[in-house]
Amino acid sequence: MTDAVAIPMEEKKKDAVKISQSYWSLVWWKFKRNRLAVVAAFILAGYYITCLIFPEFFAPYSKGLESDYIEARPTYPHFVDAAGSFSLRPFVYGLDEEIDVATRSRKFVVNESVKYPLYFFVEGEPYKLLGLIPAKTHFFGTDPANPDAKVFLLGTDRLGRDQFSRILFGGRISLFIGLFSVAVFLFVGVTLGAASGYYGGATDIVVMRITELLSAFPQEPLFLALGAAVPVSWPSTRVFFMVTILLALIQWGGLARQVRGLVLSGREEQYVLAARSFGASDRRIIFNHLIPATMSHVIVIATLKIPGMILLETALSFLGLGLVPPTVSWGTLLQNANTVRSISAAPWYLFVTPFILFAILAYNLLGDGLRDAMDPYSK
Amino acid sequence: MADNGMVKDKDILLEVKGLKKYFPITGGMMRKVVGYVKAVDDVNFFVREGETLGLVGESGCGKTTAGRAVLRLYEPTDGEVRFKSRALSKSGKPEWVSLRELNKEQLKTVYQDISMIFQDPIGSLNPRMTVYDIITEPLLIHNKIGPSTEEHVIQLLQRVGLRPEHIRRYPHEFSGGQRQRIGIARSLALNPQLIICDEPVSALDVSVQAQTLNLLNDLKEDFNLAYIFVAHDLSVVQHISDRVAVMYVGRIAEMAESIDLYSHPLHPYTEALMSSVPRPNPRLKKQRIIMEGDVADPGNPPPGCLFHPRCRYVQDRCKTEVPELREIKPDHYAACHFAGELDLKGVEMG
Amino acid sequence: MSEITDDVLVSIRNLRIRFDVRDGIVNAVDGANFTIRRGKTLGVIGESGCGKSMTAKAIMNMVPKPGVMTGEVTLYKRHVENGSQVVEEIRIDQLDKDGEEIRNIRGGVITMIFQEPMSSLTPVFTAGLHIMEAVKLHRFLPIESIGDTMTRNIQKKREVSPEEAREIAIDMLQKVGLPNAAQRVDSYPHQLSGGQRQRVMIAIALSTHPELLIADEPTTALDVSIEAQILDLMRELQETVDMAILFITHNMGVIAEMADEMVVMYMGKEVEEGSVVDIFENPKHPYTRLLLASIPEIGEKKRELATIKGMTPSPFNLPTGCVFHPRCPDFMPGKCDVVKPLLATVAKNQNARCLMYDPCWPNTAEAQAVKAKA
Repeated sequence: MTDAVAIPMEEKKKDAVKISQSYWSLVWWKFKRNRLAVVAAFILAGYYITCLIFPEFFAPYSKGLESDYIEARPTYPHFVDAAGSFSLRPFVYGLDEEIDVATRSRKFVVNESVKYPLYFFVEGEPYKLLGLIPAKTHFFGTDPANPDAKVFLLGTDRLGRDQFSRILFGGRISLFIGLFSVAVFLFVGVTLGAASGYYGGATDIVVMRITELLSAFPQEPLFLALGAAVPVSWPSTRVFFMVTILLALIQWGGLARQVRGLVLSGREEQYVLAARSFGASDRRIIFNHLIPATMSHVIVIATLKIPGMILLETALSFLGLGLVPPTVSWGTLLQNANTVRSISAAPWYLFVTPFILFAILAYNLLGDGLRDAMDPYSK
Repeated sequence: MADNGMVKDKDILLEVKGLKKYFPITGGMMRKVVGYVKAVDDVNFFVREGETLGLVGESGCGKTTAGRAVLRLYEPTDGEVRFKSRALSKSGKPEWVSLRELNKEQLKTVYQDISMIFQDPIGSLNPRMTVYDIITEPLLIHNKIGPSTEEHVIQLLQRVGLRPEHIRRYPHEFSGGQRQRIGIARSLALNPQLIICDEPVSALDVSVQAQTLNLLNDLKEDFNLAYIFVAHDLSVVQHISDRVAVMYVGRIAEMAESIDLYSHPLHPYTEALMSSVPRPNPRLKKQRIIMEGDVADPGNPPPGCLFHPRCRYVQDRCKTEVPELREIKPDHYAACHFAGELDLKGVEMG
Repeated sequence: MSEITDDVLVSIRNLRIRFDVRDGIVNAVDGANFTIRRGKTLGVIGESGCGKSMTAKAIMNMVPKPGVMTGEVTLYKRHVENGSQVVEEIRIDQLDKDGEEIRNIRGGVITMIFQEPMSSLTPVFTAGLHIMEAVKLHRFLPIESIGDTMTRNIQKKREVSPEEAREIAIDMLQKVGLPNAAQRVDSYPHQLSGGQRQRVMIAIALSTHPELLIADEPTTALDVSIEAQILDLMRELQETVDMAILFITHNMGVIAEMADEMVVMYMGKEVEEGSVVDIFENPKHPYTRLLLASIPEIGEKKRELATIKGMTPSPFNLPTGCVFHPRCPDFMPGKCDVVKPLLATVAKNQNARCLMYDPCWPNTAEAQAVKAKA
């Protein structure tokens, strides 16, 4: 008989949990259970904080700071020195320049007798945080009092600039391109798709013919042609925006078709008919009923599209058709590694690839997680 | 918009004359119109104040389309819909308006007087809105949100048998019957005179169906509502309706007071339809009238009377001449050449 | 109705089907006991989610994953051996779900028709092909007996040839009243109307001479006039081919017309069973009583319909004691919410699962009062 008493209690508890679980709280609940996607979300948050928002702070040097260390090898942080003694504060060894007699090339070798300890929150080059607040503190670095002390976590390039700092700054552009071009892509795709689906008729025909035309073009050559058409004399910011908008404008077709399909089926939903029967305007129906119904799809599409945009920018810039130096992006950084010679001489040029790889992977995992979480009909 | 003598009865709230809704059939490369599906073809009916008119028929007979065409949710191809509107009149006294002549703004105002309840208790509520948002949507559209709105919504919820704490929940947390109650509460939000109920109970389980029907009947008395009750279930329609119109392939076959129509049908289709309904009485081994073949295709209807290929009283005249809906007895209309001459069997009323 | 007599075709004992899903355990069917008799129609009625369709699937041993089925489902299959009739007892629940034996039973001895005739037909197969497929798999024709007198009773069976299958298909379509069967045999499902598709489904189901036809809401998606045609057809065919029908529906009218015996189910339990006439005229269980009173009936003007208060409980959170007690007008506090009622005999050939009729309870004052009211 104890069961009979226990069950209503249980019921109450369950009821309390169930109260007003909105769609989004259900999505969140489901998303949380996907460990991989949550990890991916954290990785991406890390990327955006370090690369997009605060690269000046996290990078020990500015992206343009040149040094005498030309194509110097990375200096890795150590805790145990050559003699075997342990120090809690990490340090890097100094570098000595050597000239290879046979090839007459210059090379840097580790000099284990010089140790530069690393400090957190050191004073360094002045910069403006978020472009506004003047600051001097960097996340880590060497003793600012010693001008010889340098740390190149991932080596330097031909002008002696720190690779690690440049990868962070390059990430700012590449990640931003991903977001911005997807924003443009969403705006164009959702608006035209929704209009096409809701109004039908001539609007529909025109929009759909354009998307068909766009999808009929072979994409890569089109990019090459359009990229080549951007005047060389343009300032890098304008090229940057041009490239992002180009990326978006060529790709919105698929999204528009999907949104159109969703709106077409949504238009037949009884709740849309119900809204119309109360006198709701077209605008209200589109913005309050139809577009929210497409949102879960659109968010997933966007999440899966961002890595594609990042890769496209990288590929275009690598080929020299997107962004060009001195603009720093992951693509232009990869340009350094475009010959066998440079890779054999300075393999650390390739260090940019794991950064790209993990960002793309994280986006894909996040997109998959969102897709599973947002599908209201799965389990 | 003055009374032009079409209306015989001063209690009449809505009058539909010659309503037509044709959907074009397109074909070929150029999407040329090759024909029309005559979903609703020359339909006439009226609804009195505080009365329930049942609109009954088999699938594809145009009953749903007719209901929607009245509200111009589907723009009618032809016909006249006259309605005695309270919301549109400036004097405060109900005034006759012709819905098809109204502009968008005026029509929107009339929508305060007429609302709808839908069949699908899942599909007719936006899953992304709370109960509060759903019920206040009509109020929002008509700028009637005020400080007392929440109280109004709570009253509506209680009136339809839901609890005030349900106000912040989402549709998926309710059962089918409860969702239909939310839909009913929404349709009452603007205090309408007429509600068009589109198969409101056909998706519900038997026990919940009875609850919903009782609720609709109670509301009708409390709010002096008129219903157009669109359904395919003859027993449900008989239960709820004061008058019933039977539709067949886009046309009204017969319209009369409910008891009169069920006990003394004048159209062979009504007779056959009623004899087809399985009756919950195992001892009743009645003779069924089996209608041969299928319902006529509204895109390719037979000539003459649409029912003649399935009618057991068919005469030569039926194959060529389309029968008009005529008043055979007072308040009993039928569209059959031989209405009143045939000896048709109805249901014995218990 | 538990004794196994000659006319028993399928007997179901203590059938339980449970689903272990994320939100908890659902007992889709919770202890069903009934018998399908040869040549008779057993109706199963209940609201959505009461487990009626799942019971049908259990008879075919087709309970979908992650459902677990326990209990006994026994098929008494009749066949002719050495000139005399033998009844073979097959425990369906013990057969391998994907094995040869159950596949021979499905679509052969037991066939099924569904609510949605469109989605149960393959759109790229013609009506005839559907039937021919079934016939080829399940129907065998006798070959002439082999000459030797010693073995004169041994008849070998052979498979049906394609030409014969086509003939059978046309013949079946004619039987189910499809006009122009010889031409319609080559129609694709989309070329047929809803009623015609359901006729084709019935033709497929009957083409293998089943002993049991399971009809799961076969007319729910059809119009009244077509429903009348199909019900008439099923009754006619049953008379000519001698098969049993398990008729699953939620429509009281349909069951009254079709069934000889009926089972009323609520939340996975059979609450009442007996002959259709007895139950309709003298329903014993409060649920059956209310269900019958809550349907609007043509030809009867009821001011107010009886209702069953509340709604069906969540299958994850079933009430204690009798599952119906929170909605029951005859609720006896301290009994109904504590004791799980058993199926008790209430009249000749009529059983109800209600404490009022439970032999342990009937003499209490409350039970007497309630009974008097009923």
